[in-house]
Amino acid sequence: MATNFFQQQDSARRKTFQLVVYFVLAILILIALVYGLLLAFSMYDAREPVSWWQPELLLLAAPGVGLLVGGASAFKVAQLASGGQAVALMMGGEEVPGTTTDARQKRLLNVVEEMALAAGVPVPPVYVLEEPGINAFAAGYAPGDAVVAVSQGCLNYLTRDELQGVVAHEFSHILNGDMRLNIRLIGLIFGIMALSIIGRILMLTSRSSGRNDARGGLVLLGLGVFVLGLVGAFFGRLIMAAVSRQREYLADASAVQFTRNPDGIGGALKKIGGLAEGSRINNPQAAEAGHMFFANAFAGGGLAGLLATHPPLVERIRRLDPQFAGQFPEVRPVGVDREELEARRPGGLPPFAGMPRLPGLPQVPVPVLGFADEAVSRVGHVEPKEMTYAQALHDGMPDVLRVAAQEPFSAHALVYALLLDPRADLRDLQLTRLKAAAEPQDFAETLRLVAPVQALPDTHRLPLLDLAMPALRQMSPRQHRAFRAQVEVLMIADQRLSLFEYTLRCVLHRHLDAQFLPQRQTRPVHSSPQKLAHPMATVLALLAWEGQPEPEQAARAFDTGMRGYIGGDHIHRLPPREECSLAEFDAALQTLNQSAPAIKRRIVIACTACILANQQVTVREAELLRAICDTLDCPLPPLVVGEAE
Amino acid sequence: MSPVIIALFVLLGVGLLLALWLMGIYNGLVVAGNRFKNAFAQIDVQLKRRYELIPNLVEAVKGYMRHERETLDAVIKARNSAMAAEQKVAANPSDPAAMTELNQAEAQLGGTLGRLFALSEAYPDLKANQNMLSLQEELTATENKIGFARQAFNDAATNYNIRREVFPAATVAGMFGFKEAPLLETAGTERAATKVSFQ
Repeated sequence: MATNFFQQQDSARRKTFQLVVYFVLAILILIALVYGLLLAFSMYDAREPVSWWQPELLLLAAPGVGLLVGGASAFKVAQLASGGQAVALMMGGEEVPGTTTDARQKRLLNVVEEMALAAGVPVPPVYVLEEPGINAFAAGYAPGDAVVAVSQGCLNYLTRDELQGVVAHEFSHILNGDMRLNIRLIGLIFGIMALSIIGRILMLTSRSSGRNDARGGLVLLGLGVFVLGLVGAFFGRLIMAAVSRQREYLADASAVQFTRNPDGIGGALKKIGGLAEGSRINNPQAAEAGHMFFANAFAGGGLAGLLATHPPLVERIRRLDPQFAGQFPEVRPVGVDREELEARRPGGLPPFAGMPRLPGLPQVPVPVLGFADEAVSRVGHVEPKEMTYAQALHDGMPDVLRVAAQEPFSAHALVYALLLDPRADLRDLQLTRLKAAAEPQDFAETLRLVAPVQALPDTHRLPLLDLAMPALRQMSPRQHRAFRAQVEVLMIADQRLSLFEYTLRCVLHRHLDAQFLPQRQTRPVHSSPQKLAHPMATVLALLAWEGQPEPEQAARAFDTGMRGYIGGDHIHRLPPREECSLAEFDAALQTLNQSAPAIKRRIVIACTACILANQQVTVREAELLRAICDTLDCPLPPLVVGEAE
Repeated sequence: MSPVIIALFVLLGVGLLLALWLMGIYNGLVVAGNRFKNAFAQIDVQLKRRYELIPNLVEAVKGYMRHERETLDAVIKARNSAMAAEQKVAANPSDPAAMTELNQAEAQLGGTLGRLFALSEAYPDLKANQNMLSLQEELTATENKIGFARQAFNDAATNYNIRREVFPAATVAGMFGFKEAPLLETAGTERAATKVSFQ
């Protein structure tokens, strides 16, 4: 359990290696089988003893299998290139609109929103699968394009706590960096399973084909390909089982850690056992995606024990509840209290000691618990403390803003309102530009939201943006283009890029553009921390100056950060305040992003150490850190954790 | 090995790749289709919201506009038939007949609402009524949301339609019955509702 986000990422890489081994093995065996099939054919054809070694047959078999598996995988991967949404849509998922009036769906959205705020990631789009069983999955390439999907069975049969357990389990997959591997795996598994599908088609067509002499050959071929497909399917399952099984225990344990409630996820697992449909997924598209699900998506068979994608249910429950005797409960549909949905809306802001309350003040120190090491161990982890904080944040958001964040039209105006400067003269300038550039109803909606947004404490600004993300993602590409143009207009209207604007742009870029514009995949090119010392110094310099105006303190914070990064003495000096610009910061950050996970870990350690050098986190520092973490694709729970001890 | 057998294998390989290719196109159509069907959910919520607001509006103006019974009845009638059409479309957004019905019903509703607002101009008391003002405000906001969501839906539907019309996909679409997605027309409603102001 002591693993952290970065180790997880590294181990995900090691697993990738293990995977490649399995995959190569599968292909070799497939080639051998195809070769055998061809040999059988030529023996049947020649009707006299032939040598078993026929190089020209191998020349036919190897590229053939390679082409087929590679082609099929490439097709699937290309289809899934747009990330988690494509997976959810492929499985027939229906997106839950933020404005839903269905009480069960509303509850699901609330649970997901709270969890996302606690984890410091934008709220993912939520899908419901029309499946009667209890199951769920999370999919995507990075936390930024993740989606969460749950079956209708989850909504029908699970209580709020149990639903929270399931969602927490899925979030641990999102935060652990499992998803990228999972989604690629779908492609590979589809590649080796494609043969079984095609074999089935061949056998069917051979039955109806007319010419007699060819028919026998076709049947034999179909049978051969079908057997090959079975072997492929076997390996596919084996690979899914290998990557999936031990991670499920880990995700279960994380879910308990996030929610501090073993009964939630335990109860959900027990209900799977008690339900006739169990966790089965009927959609045939699930065949190559079994490893992504919360529980076994396939009905058990003879080989189920060996090839199960998930550990046995009873074993999973026992790890959470040692007293469990194997008696599954009787499962009945649960209702949702209207009161539950409404009672969670006090309307006011959460009464947190040490929370900055005055809007527009750039430097409000917030006491923080813990030190750099603790903060770093929190990357990709959610503590119950953060859950409560997130719940308060969620419930404390003014109603008018929360409602606006649920629906695309208001949500995009909300972003405009967030970009308006607190200073009246600049704001008027921005509004004039917006009026000229935007549709009249967009402008009117923005005006409506200006007052509540300006009254919002700084701490609530980014969480509000996170809440609006699912609605923003529902824009069409055309609407997104217009939206992007307006955002740029508002950002440059005041001639300077403020820190919040920069962070907002990072978040939007990372989480919204990823959906609409093709993204370049960044491969780690740097593996030596020394080579990146210079960009690191640029990033830390700005961070140090943002945290403390006094040169001495800033130098000390900078030094603490650099030491944290290099792990000892260093030659870098803090440059003067005037020399630190956001533009250079951004360029340096892009360079840092091309590093391996182990280095990213150091970078986040260094930044956190720098911020915490004076034991306080300002909102500006927290926003910068969020920009850093989003650019590096590491989710970081809000550093602001309430009262000091 | 005889040339016949080799030819058979080459044919098989080509067939396999072709099957994969078709499968890829098929899945692409499924995803694009699901996308536009999902986009309807967004409009659906707002349409429902508006159908909820209209009886309240009629209730609010009834006391003032006693002599416009016919218009009020027409609004309610149009609202009811639009609601019925909306439910049909929500059940299957790719059904062109249901969509046509919804488009017509919405146009009808927009017309009657426009008439109601035009007539209400003649009642000064009504213009000052707080309840009426807030309903009008809410109705306008809902129309704006519908407009934005409709645009997103039509974009998704158009994207799907373009996908299914280009050459290889058109064949697959024909074979597996991927029908053209119907568009949701801009009914006059939201313009009628936004235009009328009480200033």
